Amino acid sequence: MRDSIQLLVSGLQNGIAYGLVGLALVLIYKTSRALNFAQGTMAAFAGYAAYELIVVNGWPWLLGALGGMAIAAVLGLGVERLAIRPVLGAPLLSLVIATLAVDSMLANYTQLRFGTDVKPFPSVWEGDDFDVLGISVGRSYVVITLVTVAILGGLAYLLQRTGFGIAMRAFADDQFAAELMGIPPARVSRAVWVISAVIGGITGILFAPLLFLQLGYMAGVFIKGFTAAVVGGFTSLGGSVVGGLLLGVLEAYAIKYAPAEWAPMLPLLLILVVLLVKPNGLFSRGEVRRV
Amino acid sequence: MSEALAPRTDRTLQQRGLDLARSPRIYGIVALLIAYSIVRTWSSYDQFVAASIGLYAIVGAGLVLLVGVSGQLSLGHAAFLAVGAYSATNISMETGWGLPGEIAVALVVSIAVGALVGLPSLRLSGLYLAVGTLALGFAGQQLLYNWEEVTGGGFGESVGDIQIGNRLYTLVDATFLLLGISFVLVSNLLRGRTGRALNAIRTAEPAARAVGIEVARRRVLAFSMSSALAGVGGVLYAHAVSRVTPETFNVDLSIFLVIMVIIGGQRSLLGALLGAAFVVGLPEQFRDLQDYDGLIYGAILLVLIQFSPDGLVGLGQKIVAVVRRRRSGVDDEEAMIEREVEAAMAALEESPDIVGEIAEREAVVVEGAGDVEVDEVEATAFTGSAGRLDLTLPGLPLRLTDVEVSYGGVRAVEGVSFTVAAGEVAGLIGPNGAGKTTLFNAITGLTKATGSIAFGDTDLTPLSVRRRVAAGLGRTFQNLSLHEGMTPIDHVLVGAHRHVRYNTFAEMVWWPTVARAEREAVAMALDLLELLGLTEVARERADLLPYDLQKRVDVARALASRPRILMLDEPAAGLPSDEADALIDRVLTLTRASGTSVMIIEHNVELVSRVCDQVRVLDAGLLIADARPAEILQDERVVEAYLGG
Repeated sequence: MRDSIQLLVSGLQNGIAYGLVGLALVLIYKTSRALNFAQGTMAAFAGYAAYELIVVNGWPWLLGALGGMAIAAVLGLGVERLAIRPVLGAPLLSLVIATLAVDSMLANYTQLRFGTDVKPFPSVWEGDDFDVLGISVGRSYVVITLVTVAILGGLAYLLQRTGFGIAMRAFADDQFAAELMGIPPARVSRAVWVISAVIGGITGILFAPLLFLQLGYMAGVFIKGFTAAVVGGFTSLGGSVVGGLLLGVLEAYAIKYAPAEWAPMLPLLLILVVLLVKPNGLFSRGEVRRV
Repeated sequence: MSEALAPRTDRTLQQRGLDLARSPRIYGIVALLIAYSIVRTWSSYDQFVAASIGLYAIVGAGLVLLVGVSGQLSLGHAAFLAVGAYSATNISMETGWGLPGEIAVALVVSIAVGALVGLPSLRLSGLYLAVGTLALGFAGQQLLYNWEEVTGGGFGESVGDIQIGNRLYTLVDATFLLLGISFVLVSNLLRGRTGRALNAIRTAEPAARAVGIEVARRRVLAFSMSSALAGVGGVLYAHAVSRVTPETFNVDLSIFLVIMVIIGGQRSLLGALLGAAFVVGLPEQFRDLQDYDGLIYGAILLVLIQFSPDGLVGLGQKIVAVVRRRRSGVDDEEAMIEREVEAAMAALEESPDIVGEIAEREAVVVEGAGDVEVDEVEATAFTGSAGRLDLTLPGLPLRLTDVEVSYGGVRAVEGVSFTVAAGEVAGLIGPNGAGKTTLFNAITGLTKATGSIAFGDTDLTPLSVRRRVAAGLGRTFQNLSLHEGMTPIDHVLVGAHRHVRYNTFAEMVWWPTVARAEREAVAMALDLLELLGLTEVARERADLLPYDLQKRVDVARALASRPRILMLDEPAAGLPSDEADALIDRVLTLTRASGTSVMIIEHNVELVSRVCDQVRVLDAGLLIADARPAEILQDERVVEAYLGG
């Protein structure tokens, strides 16, 4: 019984982190119908940047993390201006391919700038896991959970309550109509990419102590974030987090009970099952058209 | 049709950019043979480089079909390469089946894995395939590390010699053989109904569905074909590197493959070849740059998607066009007229009854060579006689009972019931936002509706769009929904998709029955275009034509689907009234001859009252009148709806 609860807790811990990665993907999809395939690499870049500040330059952890987030914001700004803006309004495929170009360039630059070796990254809250009635809870995961809840609340407030958030949603519904109503597409696009790059940067920094810094360390997490977003219906912020939790828990049990060959198949299976049975995701109100 | 039309057929079926298919295929094959005889004499390292280009070009051919033509993205093609590579290691080391056995296993497994991922994701519109294949690529690589019996785990597996029967072959032999076969098969798919259907789906999906194209099935076909070709590429990859290890098959490789095709030119086989040569050849030529490959490819990609979506091929075409124009001083229009004359001469042998028209065209050429004005004037007049065309079918009664459409809380169409008799010309009028187009969408199945819709004895209510088209529904679009980059002939052939039938395997080898079906289809298309006065522009890009001609192309596409009821959505809008009259009269002559029903949405009340037998008026989703045109004009509610609102 205790083992089972421990599995559940570990699963939830990972799951909320996947959900957090999914949030940034959903935000971009919600506002521009695009998928950002450079998200993992952009997040990792912020992780490396924070490492440079904290470990190499000796900045306090929190200040270094803020520095990493600031660099992520600048990165988001640059990516939007150089890769995304020029193809705004082009077929969706062009936009998505632009993110592949960004991924290719940034991955290459990360390797040139930071090298290929594995680097340990200090945790924000050093110390042993908490023991809650015999169930161990990692300190990093407590932080990730708090951050996720804060970001989820912040985004929900931004999109539902602020004028700018409503403009973003209008933009997603009908870019042309939104423009006619005086919503500047460039500003919306820029804001969305900066916000999602910062969220990505936060995930990159929070995951660095758990996975160690190495090339492509966010790739696997990124794919699980995608899975979380698909399970959540890709337009629902809360859905992404719930989708992440579901994936995390299933994964914890799969690693324990399924043959080792098959456990990594879980994200794929989950995506396929959701697309087959409930293509709108488990929580989405939006319509996905079948053909 | 005689062979006179044949060489023209090849040219006309062409999209811009499908280069190998544009130039006669035989040149491609000869070029390949020459390349083969040269490469054979190279050093073994250079042969390895050439074979690498060849194997990536094979993978690229599949991605042209998937990414460039069908507009779907795969980020998991590394998995199919892995399937091919490990098929090669296992079959070559453990059986005596040789290369054919390796290929067969690679094909079966890649297509099966492809179907597993493709079937659920391709039913949905959007880029779900990219997400599904991304997860496939990730999971696949983990499986390779873990499944040691088959893959040898992280240590990898060796591969045996390339053997067909009892003879040994070199890597270059096998690569050129498979490259030739793959390119021939794919180029045939590109010029046949498969390529046409995929292009149509990518450029205007609702229109493609409205002529009965099986969207999901065609996409799955494109994906299976591209998975299979990646599998074949994987077999060659194994023989090229001799030891296959899992770390090769990561997501980066999948992305790299897509980048390769887009750099080369995503809509042509030449593009696949150029892309492969570029990404394999560049690091060979400039070893210092190898560390920067990601930066270089990414930067090139960013520039290309903005300035030349057709990649290096598109860039080459632009340069060639500029150089040609400068050198010869002959502009495109003149060359076009010359081609027209050639084509007309060829057609003359077929149908002597267009002699007069050809004489006219020649006169145009003689008097005003290169004079665009004359050409356009010629194109806007309706010409020719309709005698030979027998496209439309006798109508059936269309019965709507309590049809309702709601979007969220808004009811766009409320409880509409009426019957359009067989052969009737029915008008549907009403103010903007009355729900007219929504009703069309409900009837054709593009929008979900409640209530019942019956056509003849068929209850359409439970049927898919495609089944409704098969039952006899054909329609045009208010926004035209033309297919970007395709010619009027292509549009007609897209419309005729259900009637130009042949087996996809026959299409791949361009079996004589396929060639004949295509020739006949093109002849039909030319007849129909002649009837609508589009002969002069039959081979130009439809989406760049003047608006009035674009409208005719939309109507031509609908007619080519051989409807029993033709549903025209604002056919006169945007046209001068004499032209609108001419277009409608031309279409109605055709439909009256066959007894086809017609339903017209129109704001031009004069036109409606002139041509319609019966008129229905919608206002705010409700049917407020159903009467003869003369009575409609007297109806107070109708006048109120139009003038009072």
